[in-house]
Amino acid sequence: MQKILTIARREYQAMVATKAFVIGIALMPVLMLGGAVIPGLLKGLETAENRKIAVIDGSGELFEDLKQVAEKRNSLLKSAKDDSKRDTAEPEPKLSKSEEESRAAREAMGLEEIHNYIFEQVPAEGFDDEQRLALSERIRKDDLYAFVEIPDNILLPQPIDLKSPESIQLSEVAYVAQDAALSDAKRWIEGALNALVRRKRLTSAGVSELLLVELERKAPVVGSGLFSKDESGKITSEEKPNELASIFLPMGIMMLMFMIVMMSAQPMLESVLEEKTLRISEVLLGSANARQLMTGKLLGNVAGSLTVFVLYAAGGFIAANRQGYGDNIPYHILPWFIVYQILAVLLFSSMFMAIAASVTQLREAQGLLMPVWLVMLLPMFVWFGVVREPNSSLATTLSFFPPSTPLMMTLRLATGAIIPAWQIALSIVLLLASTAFGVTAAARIYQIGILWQGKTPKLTELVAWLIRNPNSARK
Amino acid sequence: MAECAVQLSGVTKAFGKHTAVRELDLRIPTGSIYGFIGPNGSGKTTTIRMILRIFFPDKGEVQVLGQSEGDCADDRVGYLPEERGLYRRMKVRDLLQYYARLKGFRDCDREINFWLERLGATEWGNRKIETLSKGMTQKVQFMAAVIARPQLLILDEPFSGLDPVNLELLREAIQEVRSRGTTIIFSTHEMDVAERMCERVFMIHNGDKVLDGTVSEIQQKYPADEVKLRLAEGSTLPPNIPGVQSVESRGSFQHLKLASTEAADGLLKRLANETQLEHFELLRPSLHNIFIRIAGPVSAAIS
Repeated sequence: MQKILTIARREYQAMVATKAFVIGIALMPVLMLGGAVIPGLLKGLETAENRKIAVIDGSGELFEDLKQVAEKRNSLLKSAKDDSKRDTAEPEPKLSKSEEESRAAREAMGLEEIHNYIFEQVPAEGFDDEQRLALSERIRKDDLYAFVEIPDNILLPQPIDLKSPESIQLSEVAYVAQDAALSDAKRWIEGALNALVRRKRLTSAGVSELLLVELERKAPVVGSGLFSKDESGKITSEEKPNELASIFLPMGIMMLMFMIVMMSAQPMLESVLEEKTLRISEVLLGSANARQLMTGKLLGNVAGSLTVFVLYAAGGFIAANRQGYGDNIPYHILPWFIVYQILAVLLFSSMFMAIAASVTQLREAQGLLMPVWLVMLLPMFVWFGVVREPNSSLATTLSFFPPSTPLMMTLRLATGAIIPAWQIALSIVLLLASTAFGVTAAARIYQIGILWQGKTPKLTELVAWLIRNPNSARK
Repeated sequence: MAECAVQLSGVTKAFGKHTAVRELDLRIPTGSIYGFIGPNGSGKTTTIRMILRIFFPDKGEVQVLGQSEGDCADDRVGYLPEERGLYRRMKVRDLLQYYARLKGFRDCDREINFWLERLGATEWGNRKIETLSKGMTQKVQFMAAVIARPQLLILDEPFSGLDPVNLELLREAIQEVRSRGTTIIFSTHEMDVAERMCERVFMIHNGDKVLDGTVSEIQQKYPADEVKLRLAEGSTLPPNIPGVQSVESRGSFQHLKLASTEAADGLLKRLANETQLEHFELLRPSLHNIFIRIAGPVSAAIS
């Protein structure tokens, strides 16, 4: 036992007391958040261009209005840009409800794209393929961004034939540009143009816009938490859930689990590989048996992972409180998180250990690591669906697939949805069983592999090591 | 204390179809320095690993310091593997402490200070291994092996990469460890080192024991068939002397390979008559030559 603890202590120190660990701790959240923040920052660096768009207005009635809407958008864009400049100068304010709404409104105005749209009119009369070619040439020369052809019957469509769904649509508007498929401008024009067409047609049908707005008023559906009785016997509903928090908090907690497992398993890989290639394992095996060595290393590794957890949890707690999300922290998952974390670290670290013991170079390990990473990352690919439906059959199934259990269960529990107790119990039992199996299997491969010099064994050989009595190589 | 520190009886160890060690008997007397010699892949490392209980024999018994049971080496055994064997990112002192504690030797600071000073490495205590020179690393390895005051010390090529000054320092240190009563197993390719350091030598080749005894015992088994001589200036060796198989110049000396020891008498008489002889010495075969004879390409081809 004393030896196991001595080994565990060194393993812990080797993992935690390094510059790489400190930098990793600090950098990991930055990198993870970077994915969300950097595109925004880059966008800020982009400068607004004036994008010229030619309009061939077959109806003869829409161009002027369209031009006006575009000018209004350009001026809004300018003020939004000034706003955001002011924003960054101040400490980041929490988005208030109205700000959030105005942001949504800006997005609806097509202000996600920062470029100005400048419309120019091209006479519709006599517009033919020759002119289409000429305009296309201008686009190629960067003199024009796009051109839009509005058909002449857009305001006076064919009567609807209920049997043919196509006849319900108005005639097509052609949008021609180099990036026609994904263009923000195209999306914006579609919205703006249809709004104009609708207004014109309403007026010609004798319906005032006010009347239409009046008739189309909507009742909002607002989400609310469940009702419960407090100590004084008063029945109240839980606070209205914050939508943003209820989506991203579970994801963040799952990411935390992922980072912890990654930050634990990776050092294990490196440490076993170092011991193997530098023949340290030989000295160690001259002092302790393989079982003690592996137990000690795993213990130190789990202790290291708990350190990572404490650091991140404390950091997350402080950050959430400062940002005003303190109430959203799902404290109830804390014990489960720790249980899943310990089992996950044991499972993955022992797998990494076995992989490191069976190869001679880090490069060779990568190939074997790939499938392990993939099964572990499975929940990452489906997290959004799971957050919306924490009890869907996909979520339930993945919870019982041990390699993805830790991430999946933390994700589901973090949503605050009620997960049946039997599912939690079963997932832990399955994970426990597979961790026990994984550690045993890893121990067998480790025992043989750690002294294995020369070529990397084939997968079939690894399986043979697994099946063979672990002592047969030594006995 | 037991008479033998290590005793192997009828030990066989195979890996798959390859037999690494065959029917090996070996007795290493307590307090001796025992040389393990043999080419790479001869079964030396396997034998050492069995003594360390990293491997277990398929057949036979391995008794170490009176124990024949257990699934890892006794805490009383110290081991220095050939090169490496150290965590590169650990500080010297931390590493020594770790290796001592693994052997259950917890109160090791005095011992660490003693060895750091003894090997002139006091100022290296807080440096990381990766910053040390090769010779320095070798000394740290040695310290790591002896730090827990072992009763049996296994050294695998302890002198590789050492300059003459450090080599002498380490040689003295080994003698010092030995004077405490520690039994030392000394594995090496360098025959002159084995000849100088070891009282007894054991050689394994293709899994079989081929030599075991004191250096002079072994040398007596092999005929003295080499003559080292020097002639005065201006004097030359007559051509085609009967019984001389080959002549090789080494510095101011010439080495003559003889067909048999008996040929030496006739050679001396003839040279005394025909040349001005300054030096004539009948050489006992060196361990090096015996080693080459056993493990050289010819015998390898036969086996």
